[in-house]
Amino acid sequence: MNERISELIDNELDSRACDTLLKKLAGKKAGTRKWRQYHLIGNVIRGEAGAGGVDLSEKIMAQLDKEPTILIPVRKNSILARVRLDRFKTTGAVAVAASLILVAVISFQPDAENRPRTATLTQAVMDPALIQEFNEMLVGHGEFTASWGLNGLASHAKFVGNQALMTEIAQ
Amino acid sequence: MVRDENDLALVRHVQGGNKQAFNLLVQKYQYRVKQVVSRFVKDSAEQEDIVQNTFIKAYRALPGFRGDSAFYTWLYRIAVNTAKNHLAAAGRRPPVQHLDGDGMDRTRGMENLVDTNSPEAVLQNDQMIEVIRKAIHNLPEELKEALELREFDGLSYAEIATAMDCPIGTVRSRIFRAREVVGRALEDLEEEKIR
Repeated sequence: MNERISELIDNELDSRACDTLLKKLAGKKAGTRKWRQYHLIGNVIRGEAGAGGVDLSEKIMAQLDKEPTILIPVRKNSILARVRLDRFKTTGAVAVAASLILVAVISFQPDAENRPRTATLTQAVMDPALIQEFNEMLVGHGEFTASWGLNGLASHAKFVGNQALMTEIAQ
Repeated sequence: MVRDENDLALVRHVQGGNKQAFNLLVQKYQYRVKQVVSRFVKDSAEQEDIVQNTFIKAYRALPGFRGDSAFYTWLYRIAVNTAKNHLAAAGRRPPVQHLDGDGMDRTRGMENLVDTNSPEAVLQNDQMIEVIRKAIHNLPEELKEALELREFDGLSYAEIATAMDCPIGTVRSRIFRAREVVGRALEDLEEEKIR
């Protein structure tokens, strides 16, 4: 935590991390103490903290207790708005990625329902009449797809595409 | 130089109703504001009053702060005006020199002002500053150099890494370790005061 405060003071955190840490810091004694301490060290190095320097923050905050709390709408181009937008974008991206992964997992999962159909297909392919019919169809389509230069892929696509048909025929 | 995005983020937090976020701005800038005020008023008690008024005024005016200028530039103007108004109300004239100067000479024009700092306050403050200076002086050379390049020269970690010919992670760690060592010395002093 203290190392993050050190980075925060040096403006080395991105806006989101900065925003999150500042939120955590405000009102937390230990964090505020480190924030004050680190700034004081900088003040001394730069010669800003001189004779008579005392911490006035408690007095000032006590006076501010009497002041009404400021509450203005967040502007579109403000840092908070940007941070919220970043978060929305990140959440959206995560949701899209999760959906894609889900689709991929479902698509590539072995389908238990297809197993008996594959068996039926194997049996069907063993039938010489069906093999003949299927081969004629493959040759016919193969001639068509060859002109597109998609032989390997198209043959596979045809085979997969005709699984349902062949199963139907076999039944 | 590193841009100060913390200030804007803190301002937006305050504008969003988080009053405590203003405390972080006070802690960050109180000494710098006091230094500005000390160009007008030498009396420490008066300086403190003006510093407090500056921050109260800044808080009240914060809803109107749009971030067109840096927060400190905005705060600086409030501090200068508050100090001038204070002197005007007391029937005194501000020192002619350095009203908008860069603060390199902080004592000119203040010879006739009375210093009413209590000896205890001066002693306490001097002790604290002395402890920090001594702790910095005793730091291992690479820690001291990294800290000073950051705090005095205002270099970013990447610039310090180039200057010191080491990875950025090392710079980050050196600066943090330096602060921790000095911070511990300050805590020891505070504990001694309590005893």
